[in-house]
Amino acid sequence: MKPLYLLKPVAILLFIFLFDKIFFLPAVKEQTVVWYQIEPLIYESRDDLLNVITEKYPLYNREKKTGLILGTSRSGAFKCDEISGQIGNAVTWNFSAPLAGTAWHNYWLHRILDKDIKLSYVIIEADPLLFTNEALTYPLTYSFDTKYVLANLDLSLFGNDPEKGFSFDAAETFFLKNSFALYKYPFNISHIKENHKEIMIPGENNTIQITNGIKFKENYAIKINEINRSKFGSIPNDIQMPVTPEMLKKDALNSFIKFGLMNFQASTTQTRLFRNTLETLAKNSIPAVIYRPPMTYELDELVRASKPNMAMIADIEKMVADMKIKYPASQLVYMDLQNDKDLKCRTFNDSYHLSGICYDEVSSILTKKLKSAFLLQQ
Amino acid sequence: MRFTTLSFLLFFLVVYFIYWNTASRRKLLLIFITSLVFYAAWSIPFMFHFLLIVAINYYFINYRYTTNSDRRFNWIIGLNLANLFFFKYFYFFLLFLLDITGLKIFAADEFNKVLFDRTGFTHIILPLAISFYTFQLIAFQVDVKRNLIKEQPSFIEFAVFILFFPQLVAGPIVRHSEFFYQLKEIKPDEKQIMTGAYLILLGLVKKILIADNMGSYITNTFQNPGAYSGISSVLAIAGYSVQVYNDFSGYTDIARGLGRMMGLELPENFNGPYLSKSLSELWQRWHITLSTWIRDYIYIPLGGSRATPFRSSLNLIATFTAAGAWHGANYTYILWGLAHGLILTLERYVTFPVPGSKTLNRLFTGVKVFYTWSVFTLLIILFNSPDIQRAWDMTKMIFTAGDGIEMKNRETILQLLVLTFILNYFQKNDLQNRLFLKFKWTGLVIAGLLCLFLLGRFAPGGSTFIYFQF
Repeated sequence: MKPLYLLKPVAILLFIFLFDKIFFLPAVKEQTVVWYQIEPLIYESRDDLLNVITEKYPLYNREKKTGLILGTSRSGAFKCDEISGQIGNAVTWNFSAPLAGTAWHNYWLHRILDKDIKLSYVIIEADPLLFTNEALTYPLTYSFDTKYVLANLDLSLFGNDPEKGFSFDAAETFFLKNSFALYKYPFNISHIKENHKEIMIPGENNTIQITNGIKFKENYAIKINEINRSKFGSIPNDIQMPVTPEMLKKDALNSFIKFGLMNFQASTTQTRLFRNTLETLAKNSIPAVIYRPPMTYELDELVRASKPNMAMIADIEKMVADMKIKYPASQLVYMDLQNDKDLKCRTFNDSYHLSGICYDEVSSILTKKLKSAFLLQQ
Repeated sequence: MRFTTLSFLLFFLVVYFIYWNTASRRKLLLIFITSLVFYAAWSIPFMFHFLLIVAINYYFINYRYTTNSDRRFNWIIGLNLANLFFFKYFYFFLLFLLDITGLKIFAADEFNKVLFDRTGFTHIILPLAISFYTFQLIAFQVDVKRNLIKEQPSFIEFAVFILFFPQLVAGPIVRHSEFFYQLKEIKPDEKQIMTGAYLILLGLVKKILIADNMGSYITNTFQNPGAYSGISSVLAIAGYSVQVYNDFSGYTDIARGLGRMMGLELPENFNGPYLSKSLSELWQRWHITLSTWIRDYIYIPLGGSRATPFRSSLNLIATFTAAGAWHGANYTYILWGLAHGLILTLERYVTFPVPGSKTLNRLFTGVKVFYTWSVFTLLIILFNSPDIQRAWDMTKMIFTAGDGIEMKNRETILQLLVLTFILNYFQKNDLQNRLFLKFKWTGLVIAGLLCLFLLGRFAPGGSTFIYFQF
């Protein structure tokens, strides 16, 4: 290419691209990802969880039913052994993660089924939050894989192929995040400083432990791996946070705005992949309860006043009903826990998250539904 | 393909390599093909539609040159306007009829049902770039009629002029005199390539870092003005003045940067507009190619300033009302244009006294700059509100200092506002180009790295350019 200066912009771009790769190195990531950002650790730990299931499944399969929970941090708090006990002769695995939307659930459902793991029951969380573009942010950054994104990429003329999930924009974001380290793990000097500061965290037996951010992350990663083995992926939260009605009211509005519910518009990617999830469950005759989790009264008021949100809730129920009509042998049931009179415990840590003390009752309601609606065959 | 995407980066890298390894005489064909590919990435059927419009326009140009007759001039102008009207204003026209008559047959949903039953299409889609390419086509046809274009261009030259992908989607609206002479021989120039790369980086920073982030802070306020406080509404409109400048100026920078990297110079669209001392001056510095277009093809043909003062004022108001309508098929845009026309007319008759002392003069300049920016920003209520009702709600909130949700990110909004004025200063005094030439290639490496760090840290989800919707 003559003259040679024409190559200079390309050479600069190449240099910047290669320089960026330094920030993918584990030793560098350890410094740049701030200790309180635990989402990458949780999302990335799900590969380990799948390895645990794959390893243990041959043993369990002979004796027990295998169940799956797919949700956000709200479902992450379910105690798997409790659910397994309520179902009876079962082992339940929890593939929930913070702000993980329906696309992410679809991804893990397919990865698990691709390992020839026969599922006896599935509990899936579904409300408008999981259908937002906000709920795609973490999965696009810390999860999915190229094969899945390409297989589900909508390349139709006007982006309206109902069989495909990922819009071109969503796929672009995925590839951008995986091509440029600084886009996936942004560089912030204050984060590096935070990681080396002393922090105090609750230790065992009501003690306070002094550590630093780097060690906290190391220990947290080890803890998640242990949890994958001992608690089957759950991250139960037994803490009852002291909240006042004023705090909950303020939090309701903040959450309503922050998570994209104020101007709610369902993401095409999330909606199509949710439909695909339902279809996969229906085709494989896997019993599933699709549930709308409870929220605070203050947040529910905002949701009720919002036509797009209410339309989405109705749509979710309709999608389940339509799937049952399409596949009469399917075993899908929808439950709206927000309006369920059986759920008495309604103590919240924030607008979205029930206190840990309520989870026994919630899991009991869900498992009762599973058992009464379906014959849980092995 | 948006300029700020990975797919566009890969597309342009391939184009750049092939382009500069292609003989000069074949470059036009390459631009033609790659521009079609660029448009087809959005929609293949509409690429054919676009090509057909270009071909029909060329047919009429050819007729004019071979027969020297303007008999068919009105036909081609009418066809271009009809094309624009059908795709862009049809639903607005239905809404207008519905508002006037109250008859349900004029409801968009009813029309769409019939459209779907008869054709299988769910609605009329707005073709990408239609507003921009229509204006460019009309300008060319008028210039041919006015004998301003002596030499008939070849089809390829004409097609490249209209289709050139860096400026295709949202301008600048290019005139023949600014572009054709460059097509005779396209040669690389080191300074041009280098400053082109700098401009692309600057555009990315303006668009992604400033405009996209600002959009995420303020969108909710425009969508739900009744819920937000008066102060939040003021911050929202100030924020939008930041967003729209950085979005559009950023896009123009990228477009011009891409053009320069292909050896072609595109006109600047902004010249420090927020440092203008009157709305009249602002329109000489804001979306320059649009304002010169409406001056040359609407205002002057209507009589311009050569008519009586009353008629001249009407011409100005009509021109800007049309400019408002060009921006979008909504009453709000028309009112926005009308408001600008009225204020511009008022400015003709109201003159501010010039203070004697230098200090007072400087102070007064500051007041005038503040006045201009404030008027422009207040009228943003009409420009960016989804409908008249919400525009009214926002106006009420601002002027009654209403209570409501307090917007977060206040400090960031104000910081970005200050940064925007600094960028305006750099632009107005051509400082950015001087800096590019001073720091050369080494500076570009550092700028590239800085850009990467900043974009990685601060880039939000990413959104389309505001002017793409027009």
